[in-house]
Amino acid sequence: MRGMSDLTGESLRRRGELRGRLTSLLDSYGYRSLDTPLLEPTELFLRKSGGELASQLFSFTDPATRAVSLRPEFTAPAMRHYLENASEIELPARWHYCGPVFRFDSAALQDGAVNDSQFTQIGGELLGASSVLADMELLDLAVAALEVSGVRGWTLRLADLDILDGLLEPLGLSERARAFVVQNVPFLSDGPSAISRISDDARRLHITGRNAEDDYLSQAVQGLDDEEARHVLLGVLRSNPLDQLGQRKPEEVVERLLRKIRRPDVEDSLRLALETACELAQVRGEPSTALPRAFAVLRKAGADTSAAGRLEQIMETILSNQGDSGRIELDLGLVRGLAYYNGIIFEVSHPSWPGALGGGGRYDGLARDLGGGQRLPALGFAYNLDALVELAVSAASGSAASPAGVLVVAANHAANAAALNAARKLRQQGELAEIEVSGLSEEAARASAARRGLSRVMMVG
Amino acid sequence: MSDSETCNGQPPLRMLLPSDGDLHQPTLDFMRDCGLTVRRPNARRYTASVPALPGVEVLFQRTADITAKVEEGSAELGITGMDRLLEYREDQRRAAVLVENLGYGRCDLVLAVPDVWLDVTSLADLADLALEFRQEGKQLRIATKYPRLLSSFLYDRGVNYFTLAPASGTLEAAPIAGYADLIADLTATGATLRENRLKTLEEGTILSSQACLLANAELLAVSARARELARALTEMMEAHLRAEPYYRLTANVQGPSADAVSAMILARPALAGLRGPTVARVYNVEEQGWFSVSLLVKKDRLLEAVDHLRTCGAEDVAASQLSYLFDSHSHSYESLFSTLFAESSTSPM
Repeated sequence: MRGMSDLTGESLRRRGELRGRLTSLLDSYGYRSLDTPLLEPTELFLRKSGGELASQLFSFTDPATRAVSLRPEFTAPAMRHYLENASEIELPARWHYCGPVFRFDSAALQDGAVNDSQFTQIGGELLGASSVLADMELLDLAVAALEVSGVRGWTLRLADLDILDGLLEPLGLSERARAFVVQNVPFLSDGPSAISRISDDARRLHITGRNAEDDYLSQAVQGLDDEEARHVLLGVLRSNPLDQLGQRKPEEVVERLLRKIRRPDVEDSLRLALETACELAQVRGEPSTALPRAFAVLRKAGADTSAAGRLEQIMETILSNQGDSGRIELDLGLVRGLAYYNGIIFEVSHPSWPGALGGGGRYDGLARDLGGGQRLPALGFAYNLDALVELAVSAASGSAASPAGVLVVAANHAANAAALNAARKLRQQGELAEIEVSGLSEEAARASAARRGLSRVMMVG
Repeated sequence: MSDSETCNGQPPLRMLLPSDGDLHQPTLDFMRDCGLTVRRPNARRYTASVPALPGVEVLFQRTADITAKVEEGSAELGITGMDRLLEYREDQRRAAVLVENLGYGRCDLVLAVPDVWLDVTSLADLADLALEFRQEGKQLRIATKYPRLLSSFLYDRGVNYFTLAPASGTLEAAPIAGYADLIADLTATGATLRENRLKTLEEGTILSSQACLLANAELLAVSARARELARALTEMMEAHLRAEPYYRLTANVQGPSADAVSAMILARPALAGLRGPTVARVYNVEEQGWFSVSLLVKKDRLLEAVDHLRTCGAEDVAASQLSYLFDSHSHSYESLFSTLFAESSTSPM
């Protein structure tokens, strides 16, 4: 299958070895191991990431006609695990996991690119902690994992989505308009030239502009104050049978209606939002120079700077403990996915790897999105283990010693039992012992051992 | 059907027609109007023939199954709704559209919400509501039999958070029954929606559908006889569809010469036929100067054209229904095979 590959011998061994080191690291931070099924209901992933992810899911209908998907990541399954077992789980909970994940990349397949559809993810989640110390722990762990992996030359780009939120807050945009701005931040980081195209998109998606029917209702309650208008509209609504309202209450319908018809066209405030977001999105680089620029943009817009202050504190802590295997940058143009993260987010890249090595952030809303009833402070990170293995090797190529080993050859049938015993003894002493089972002559056995990287041949009998 | 018309016991061209629902009778009527009357020996039989085209076997199948059956190679051709084709199709080569609009079976796939959702009038409102539901930890549930078309429509328009409710029975009842908040369903006139106190949304039409002719292009590519029959069938349908909007008018007009008569008629080009009138002399013993005029006119301009001919001195104006209007070649058929053969010459099948 394209995008999926077999792994053999040396690369499999290196993966196992790195996995072991990273698992020990995660263990030492107090993270407990968690494994979840490969298959989950498709809805679990759609509830988390919405349509954005839909085209990347390996989805199918199982024999019981349920829509299921191969997991594309571990965060949603981990949160599902928590929600299903909340009564038995003590918070804060720390989990680590490692295993294959699946993401279909149709664009890459058409381009003939070799993006892996299956790769191994390793990561950790910290549930039930809202403090800035939890943010620091997670980043510290994410950086330590990179250092343990032996990869050099990585870049970790860090942002805090609350900074952008603080900037948009005073503009009074609808939830959808705010999500729309956040979603377009990656385009805005290239500069203001994208703004007019994005504004056109907003009109096409009816985020700005009004429609005729709403104008009609708007006129119907013209001249009334909100309280009177509410009364009239509720009266109109109650004159209908209400058996179809479903999950909605009459008051909710009226409230939303009133908000909608009294809301001025947001075209101007959306444009302002895009312009300020654009300035912020271009703040990128060394923390020592980038942070002051971020503060300047926020002060100019009269926005709240507390989120930026918190990020400054986090950065100071992380930078003071950091080794020299990579660098940490501020990048306020970073957005990982849509309407999913809040607070800190980060992404790690490497010049020799297309796409991201991994990343993470805070996602306090996920518990509620998955039907948990309320928000739960939570954060996590994950890396592509296969990428780490590959980069660690190319950084330290040649240093990986091939294991020594012994080829044990029975000189004749009578020596079979002795050969098995000799091999067992060697293994007990910690050596790799392979038995020659093809009936080769001594000379052929030596040649075979040399070809296969075994350092010695032991003749028995 | 004679033995010479079968190949390995199979008829040269198999065609699937809807056995049920809103497309069954209109499809038989359409075939008849194209001069391709379907003869079914008795109503319980699921096979039939088209006497005008020996070698074609008709098989009746459920409308919903026709796309899949053509794809799996049970037949070379099929007629079904565009909605069903787009929802179920997996492979564009094995279920290619031969004629897109057969001119009947028109219906829209629309989003419909309860009338009492006074605050929701457009797709944009629905997008807002989906996000508000998400904020409250609720899911917007949509009942539909078209999950694929609905999902891609909504994702394209930035509506990302919703759940598909399993569709069973009459969808219109879903909001009352309480298993969905809104529906996406087919409607021809909107009457059923209105009776169930549901309303459509501005920008909320997912697809405007009508019956279409589809073909398994891979099967056609390997059988010259099947291609020949498929081309004949397509030509008849296209020519019928092209003829449908026109009447043929013939009239006797008196005038000094053929040129003078045609000049008078051409004074109003829109009423003077597709490429101008045909004018021929009428050989009349008693009087000289009679000409027979023949032209095609759009149905909605019939009386206007008759009046125009009268002012040109016409008598005995006859209008007749046109059965077929053939173009110089079959566009549908050629476009299908130009793509097919272009592809198969560059990439292995």
